[in-house]
Amino acid sequence: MIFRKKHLNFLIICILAIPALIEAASLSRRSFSQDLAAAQAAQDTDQQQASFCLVIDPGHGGKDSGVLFGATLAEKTLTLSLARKLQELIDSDPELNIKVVLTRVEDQDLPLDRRAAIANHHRADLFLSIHFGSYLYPALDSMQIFIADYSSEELEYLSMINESWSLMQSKHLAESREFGRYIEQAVRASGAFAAVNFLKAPIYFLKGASMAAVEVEAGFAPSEENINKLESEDYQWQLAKILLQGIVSFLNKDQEQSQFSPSSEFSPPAEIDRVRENLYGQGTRQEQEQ
Amino acid sequence: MKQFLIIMLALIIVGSGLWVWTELKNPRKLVSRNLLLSKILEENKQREEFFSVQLFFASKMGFSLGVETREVKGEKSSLQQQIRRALAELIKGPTQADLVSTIPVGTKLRGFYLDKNGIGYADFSNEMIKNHPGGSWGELITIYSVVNTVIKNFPQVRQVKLLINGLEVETLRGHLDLRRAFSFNESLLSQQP
Repeated sequence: MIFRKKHLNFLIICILAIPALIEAASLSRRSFSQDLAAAQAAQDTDQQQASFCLVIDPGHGGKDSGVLFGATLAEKTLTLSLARKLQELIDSDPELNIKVVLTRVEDQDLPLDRRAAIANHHRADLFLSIHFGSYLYPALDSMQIFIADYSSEELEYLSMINESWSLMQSKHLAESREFGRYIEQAVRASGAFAAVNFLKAPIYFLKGASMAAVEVEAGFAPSEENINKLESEDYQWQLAKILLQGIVSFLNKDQEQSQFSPSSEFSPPAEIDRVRENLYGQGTRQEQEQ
Repeated sequence: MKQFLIIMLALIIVGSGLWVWTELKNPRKLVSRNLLLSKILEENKQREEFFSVQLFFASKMGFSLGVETREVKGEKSSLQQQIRRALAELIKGPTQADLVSTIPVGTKLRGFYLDKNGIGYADFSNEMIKNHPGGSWGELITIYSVVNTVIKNFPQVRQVKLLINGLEVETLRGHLDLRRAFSFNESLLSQQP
């Protein structure tokens, strides 16, 4: 075999290429590690976002316009607009660690039972249903905060006929009352309403919810001035901030009780685990149907 | 034979006529008849007597139900008739300036029934839904104005269930669960703290 000049050239090229190949392999490893780290971080973020899940229910929708303020402003439009603003506020602050789901994101029909079913499906920790009311009397800007109510006969009857769906909320009334109280405190502290009422009532769409569940109904006299106020983006942002304050105060209360800190590694508070056990021990109606 | 029968028939007719005439002329029987007549009139008068009801309307001043007392003409003998009359007054609306009606315009009471367990069924026409302004507060105040009016005045009724056109409905306008019967609500009688 004759060692020619062209073989020498090939050998030189190979020798020169070795460091480049080593560098390339290193870069590739580094890139893979970075990707893995990024994915891990994203997964961690997802897990953190799932720490608390809030389902916001914009009342009414589709053919059901809800209350009408004047000739054109419908409750269904206001509820969706406020729900979106509340979602935007929460999503813009990752440190809040709250995943938000809306029961509807457009003007669509949504049956009453379906609203709680969506919250149950997402294993939500909180369910907040948003409504507006048009009151001739009393003509005050007011906020009504409702939690579900059951009569003793109703509980007995529902248990007897094994109507587990309507009984769901009966196991979470204490949490709902507490959630409602925090919303009430935030509304009172804001000074935005002349009257604030905290009420128990047999609200249909709260009964199937297997978590702390509250309905808020902001009530206004149907005056021209109020209609303009309700349509104002600034006013809706103000309302969203008030509700957010109530939600955050309630969740912080849980965090304090369980020594949970957002910066530490997350482990769900025992109370939340218990809530989920109660809920999913029975299965949601959707799951039962499937 | 034929003549005999005609004579007998004529005698019976004349005899009966004489007996009736004698009876009517008897003063003792006349007093007794007058007493019976006055007794019937007295009973009718009692049936036309008024009874007092407390009607629960929405207060203009705050988030509560206010009471207006009204004298309602009614039959003492029928509880369900009295309840129907009381609810008819509730539908008419308040006369006091500080109260406001809770039943939508055009609503009619189709009936009121009471079962052996003390549950009353107030059956309203479709206007109760069609003309209702909606809202959780609005539905709450409408339902309890009916429930409190019935139970406060007629304690024989333990709970009240609302029907629309004779049927059970889920809600009035998408808020309060009407599948259940309602008890008297004390908390709505005064302003919330």
